[in-house]
Amino acid sequence: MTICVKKKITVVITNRADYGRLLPIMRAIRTKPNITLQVIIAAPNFFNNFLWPLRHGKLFPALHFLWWHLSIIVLSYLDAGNEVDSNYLARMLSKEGFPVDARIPMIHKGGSAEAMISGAGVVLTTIPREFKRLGSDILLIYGDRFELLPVAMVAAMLNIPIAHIEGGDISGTIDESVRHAVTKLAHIHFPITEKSRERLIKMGEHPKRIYVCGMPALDMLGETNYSLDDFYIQNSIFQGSQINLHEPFALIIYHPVTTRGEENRTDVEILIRALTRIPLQKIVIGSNRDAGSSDTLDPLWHFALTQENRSVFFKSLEVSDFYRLLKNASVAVGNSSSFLREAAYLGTPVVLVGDRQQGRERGTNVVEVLHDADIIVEATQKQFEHGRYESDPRFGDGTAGTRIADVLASLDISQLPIQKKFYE
Amino acid sequence: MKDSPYTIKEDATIADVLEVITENHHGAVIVVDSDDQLVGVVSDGDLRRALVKGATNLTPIFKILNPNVISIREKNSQKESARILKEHIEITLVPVIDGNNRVRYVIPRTPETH
Repeated sequence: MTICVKKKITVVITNRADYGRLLPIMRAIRTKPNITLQVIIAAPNFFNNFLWPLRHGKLFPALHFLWWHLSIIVLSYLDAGNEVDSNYLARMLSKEGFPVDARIPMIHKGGSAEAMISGAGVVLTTIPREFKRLGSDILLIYGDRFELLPVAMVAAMLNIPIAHIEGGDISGTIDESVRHAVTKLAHIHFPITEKSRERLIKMGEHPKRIYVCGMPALDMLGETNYSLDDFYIQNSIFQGSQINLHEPFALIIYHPVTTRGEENRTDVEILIRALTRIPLQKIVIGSNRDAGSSDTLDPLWHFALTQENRSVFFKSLEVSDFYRLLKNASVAVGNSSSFLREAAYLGTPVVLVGDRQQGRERGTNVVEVLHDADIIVEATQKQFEHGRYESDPRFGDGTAGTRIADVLASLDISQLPIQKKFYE
Repeated sequence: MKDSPYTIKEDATIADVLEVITENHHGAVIVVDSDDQLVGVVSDGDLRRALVKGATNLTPIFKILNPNVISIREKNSQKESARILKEHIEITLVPVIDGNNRVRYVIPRTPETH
């Protein structure tokens, strides 16, 4: 019998999207008696950034942070989606009963490349101390956000094995480079699909340390209550509108495509022209804030306004509310990645517009179209007539969290080679 | 504002407008100046009345356009915008303008009529 030593698994959370994706795994890890879960929040907080420098006589950094902090607070009142992430994360974690073992002050809301880089620099200088203090055995990270790169870099230098979820994917923007770079620093991989697994092997990762587990976000779908009965009451935006969620409706999300620049405006105009011809009720959800969003967000908001009571617009939605709409929509039109993944699992018909998701794996529920009003209308009509699809299991079966936790629990760290070798 | 099927420059002629309106299937077009500032609107009805009064294909549209065009300011609140839209249920094209009266984009309110 081997002696069971409690493993310390550290997760780093940088924003609420991260939190949502890691939550099913963290819940499953918590049930493992041989794992201690440690949580680092890499988001700015008031104490570290203001009071600490002030006490230590560093006036300028303190004032600099205060100014930034106040502007974020003001923004959070103006725009509900802009809440101070650190406080939100801490609140959510404690609500779920998770520990917050460390907070590192990273500012990642600057919106410019320079702000992103200096944010990454702060992580580089502050996180090694926390890893050492916590005595992490494994670092568990998710995805491809830019701020993961310094985290992975520090762990690799400190000889802490890295477990990486969602490697081997293909996408656009800087995420593509970050994802593959993190793969080369990581020791254990949890890709979502078989295809991603094959790509990881092509990148020289050892097949023995690649575990296809599916997408953890799907774990949440199984426990979501999809009834829309109380949706009106919870979302006051419906007051005064005649939207009836028990009648067919289309769900619209259109994110700006950072590489398309001014063409985003034309693309959205074409989409809107098509939408006026689609006789369904429409629920429009605001886009992300990537470059180009004013070209896509504002026209869609005005479009929803002009459609009298047949359309509503949400700037953002709670995740569970979003899944309820996605599950119940007759058809989803736009370019959100959730249309490829969650919608495949839920079986919602999708009309994927444009090339934002080019190269991404997709299920049978997706019809891809270019920016052409006639074609968008025709495809939407066809998808509406087709009705719901069978649930497509290619992105997972809703047990990813448990499977990842099982692998981590049974892993013998002493047998894990920290020296990476190119597998060929 | 480039290549929009819903706008036309004020120095265009009736012939140009006929072409744009035929293509956009909305029975109207928003008129802007060289700086994209909102000038007016020309509808099918305006064209018909002008032709009855003796206008030709070469008549410039600034002579026949309707300057009382309904628009929404991008800074308008949702409530204010909704009120304007409700009061003017008849308009099929909604120009959205910025603080300098420049047309940012035009939202078609109804499906195209073929």
